[in-house]
Amino acid sequence: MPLSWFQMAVQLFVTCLVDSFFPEVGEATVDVLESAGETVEFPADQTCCGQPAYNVGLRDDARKMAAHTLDVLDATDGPIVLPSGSCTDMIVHHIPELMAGDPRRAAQAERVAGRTRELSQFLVDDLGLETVGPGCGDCSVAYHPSCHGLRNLNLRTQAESLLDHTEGVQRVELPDAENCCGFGGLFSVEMPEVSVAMMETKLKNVEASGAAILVGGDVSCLMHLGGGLHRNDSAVTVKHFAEILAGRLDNAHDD
Amino acid sequence: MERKEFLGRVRQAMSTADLPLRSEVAPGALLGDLRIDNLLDRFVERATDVNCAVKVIEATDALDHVISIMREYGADEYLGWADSQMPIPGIGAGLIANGFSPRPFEVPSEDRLHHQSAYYDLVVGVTGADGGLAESGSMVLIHGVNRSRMASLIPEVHVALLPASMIVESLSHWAASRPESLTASVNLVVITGPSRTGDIEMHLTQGVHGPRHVHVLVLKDR
Amino acid sequence: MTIEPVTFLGRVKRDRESGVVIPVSEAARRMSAYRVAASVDFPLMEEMRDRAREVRLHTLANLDKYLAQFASQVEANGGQVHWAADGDEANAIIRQIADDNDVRTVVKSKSMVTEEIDLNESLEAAGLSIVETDLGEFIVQLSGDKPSHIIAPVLHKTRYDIGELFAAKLDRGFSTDPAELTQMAREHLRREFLTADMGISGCNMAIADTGTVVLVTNEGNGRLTTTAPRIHVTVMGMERIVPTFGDASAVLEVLARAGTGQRLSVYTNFVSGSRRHGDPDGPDAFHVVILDNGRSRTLGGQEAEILACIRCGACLNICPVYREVGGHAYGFTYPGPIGAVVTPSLKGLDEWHELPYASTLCGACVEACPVRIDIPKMLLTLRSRAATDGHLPGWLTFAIGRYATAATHPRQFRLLLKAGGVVGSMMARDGWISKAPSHGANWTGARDLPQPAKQPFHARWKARHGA
Repeated sequence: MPLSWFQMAVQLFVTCLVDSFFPEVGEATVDVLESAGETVEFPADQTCCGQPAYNVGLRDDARKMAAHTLDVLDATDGPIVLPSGSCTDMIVHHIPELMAGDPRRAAQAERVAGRTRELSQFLVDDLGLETVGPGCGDCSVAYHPSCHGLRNLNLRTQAESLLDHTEGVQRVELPDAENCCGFGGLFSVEMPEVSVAMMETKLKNVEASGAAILVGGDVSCLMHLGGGLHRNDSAVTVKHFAEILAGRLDNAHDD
Repeated sequence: MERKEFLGRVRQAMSTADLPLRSEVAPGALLGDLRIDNLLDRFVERATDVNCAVKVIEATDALDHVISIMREYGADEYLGWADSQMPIPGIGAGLIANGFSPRPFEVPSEDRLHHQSAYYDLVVGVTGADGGLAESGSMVLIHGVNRSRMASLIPEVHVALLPASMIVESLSHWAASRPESLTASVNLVVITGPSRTGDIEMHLTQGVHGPRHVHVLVLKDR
Repeated sequence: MTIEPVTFLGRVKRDRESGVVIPVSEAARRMSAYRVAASVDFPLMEEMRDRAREVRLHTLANLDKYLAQFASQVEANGGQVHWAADGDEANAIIRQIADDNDVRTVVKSKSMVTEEIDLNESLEAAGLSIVETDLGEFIVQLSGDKPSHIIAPVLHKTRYDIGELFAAKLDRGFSTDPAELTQMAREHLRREFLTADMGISGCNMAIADTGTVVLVTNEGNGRLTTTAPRIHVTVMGMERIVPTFGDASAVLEVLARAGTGQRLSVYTNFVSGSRRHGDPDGPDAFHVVILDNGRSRTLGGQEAEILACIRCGACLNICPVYREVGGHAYGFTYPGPIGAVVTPSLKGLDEWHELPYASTLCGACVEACPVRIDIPKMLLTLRSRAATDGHLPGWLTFAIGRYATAATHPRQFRLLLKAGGVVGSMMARDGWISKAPSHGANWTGARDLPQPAKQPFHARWKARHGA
């Protein structure tokens, strides 16, 4: 990658779920990138990468959304960073597959995929940072590695290492950490019985870990797990790792 | 369905099959470095791992060992390979001389049920082994004339005599170096420990249909 | 083999309520741990997986050639080859063999493919006595149940269940000791083995250049079935071929490690025909029934790679869905991730369109699969066809369509988020929605939903940076 690429502003693709449900995670992501010395730009016309449609098999709808996403992102330069492993996986792997039949779109998809990074991947693998930002002070956390980042982007250590190098953060082991939490996109509402059963298995392990905060890198899984913890009256809360790094623990959700 | 029609359907399907890239020739066995310093030591370790009782002995002591195993189980009869098929001569003759009696191993087609029913409560089977696989602690038995399949299968106890010189690294090494062993007879079996099951609550139990105990007598090289 | 009730979620509900899922889940976890330990122990594991994958894919790409070679070789060895387009044809062929040879009693070693075609029912209807001899399958047969795992069929039963079953059916007294129960089965079944007229086995793989059938078992039932009866019939799915002994070895080196964590299963049995002149024992006749039953359709489509499966069960064991729902939920012979692809692919999506959706696409199966089959990719192609064929619920198709329209019109999208914030704030208390209307209730049945932000990120960014 040419050096100049890193000198360009970072294009933040915030994901539709962060935009609508977790804007505070988007703000924490901006904080973290700025602490890392990056200039952040936000392509205003971004919407959804198309993953929900793709995963249920509605490929025409997915292709429409993906094409829009490509148009928005391809009009920019520099690294594209997402606070989500799953949406990064969609842009890096699945959009190119979806566009394989259209040479112009395929080329565009390849260009965009080549520039796209998940947040922890960008900080650790591209920028070579140990950690960033002020951190949240003393807190005990367990980390749940979401599946698409873990297996499809091979994010096996990046976020954990950022947390481990952040002062005050005590990371405890989460038993069976790599076991899926049961969110699965629309699976969570198409097969709620199974989704919730998987969630309860995960939450048992979260409670057993003794952590006060369950940290992840995908707000989708965190929404599912956090919703379960809240329903169960648990004292454990959920946070995106960007919020931990940025020290935004009392991030107001609905202001 | 006729063969031609069946294969035609397969061919038709192959023309639209969505398969990832593949090699043009059959790749064959993979013979990599298994980090084995000593074949015999590794065989003994791994066969013991799978609950075989393994002893490395002088060939001249083999008969005594077989006899002592038979006495351990209170057996006075055995089903065995013919003497001519054992890795060393004289085992069958020696057993007879010591008062043990061989069960007939020939199961004639016309009187199959009668002969096989006599195997119902067999205690000991005595066979040779044509190879050992160090990495998995397995034995290779090639069946055929005078080599009863039942001898290593139906009794409670299987005693096998394996010359140390016949131990190779692994199944892959055997397959690569001894391809003719498959066509030499209609049955070859690779045995890795006593018969076992985990079907009931994953509780490991030995001796389901095959032998509950496998004794391997490894015969040292001269 | 199909399992009632008819819906996936119906079966899930039944099996979770009855508790049969719990031991299955526990066993699956243990088998996964054994697989991992065995992989670490074997210095060539990763290379061997690549090699085994190459063997399987090479074979599928040349399947007609290897099938023809295998069949000719079996015939050259004195065996008979039969070609069956579907289960009915296979069953009719086997009934005919039984009839021609005056067969009354049959022993069977464990075989998925014969379950796929309901062979037992077919033979019983023809008046034959048929006995399953794998301990697990024997228990399944005695209790009139169905297997819940491809290599350990009765994980869903406890030792007490089995003790009561044996006491009632074998007339041998009651025990809950697995060793004693196994001994009862041993004594009962060896009588069956030694007197049966015909042995029917499946086939883990078949070697094309020697005409050899390879059977892998731990108990010895595979060997007895192919040795004691006077007739041996192997039923094999047409994809079970490998070219040579060397190729077979690569697959065998990963099969048991991935399945049970053993280096090799106890008995790897290579059968190349009936007894030759002078052989002391073995069957007098050898038949191979090669079965299509939907496989050529699978081969011709987007899920062709699934035919590379070596039936080890690793994907079931690791699957977080399987661990919560057990094997019966999948409704057919092949459970777990492999079943979610194989069943709709063999039998069509009309009846089986739910199965590709019974997954979170977490990818644990690909990681565990010894031949690295990309199961999630195939679940996605199946989902795409299911959606095209109109199998998705109308509300979902509608909702996604509307969302896609909004997402390609940024102003509309921003309005949608804003509206979501407003509606959300009316439904929420203290930032959480605990009872959502309509299909939202599928979420809030057991989870709270965070309130959508009144100020989405778009708006916040604009407020902070202008533009």
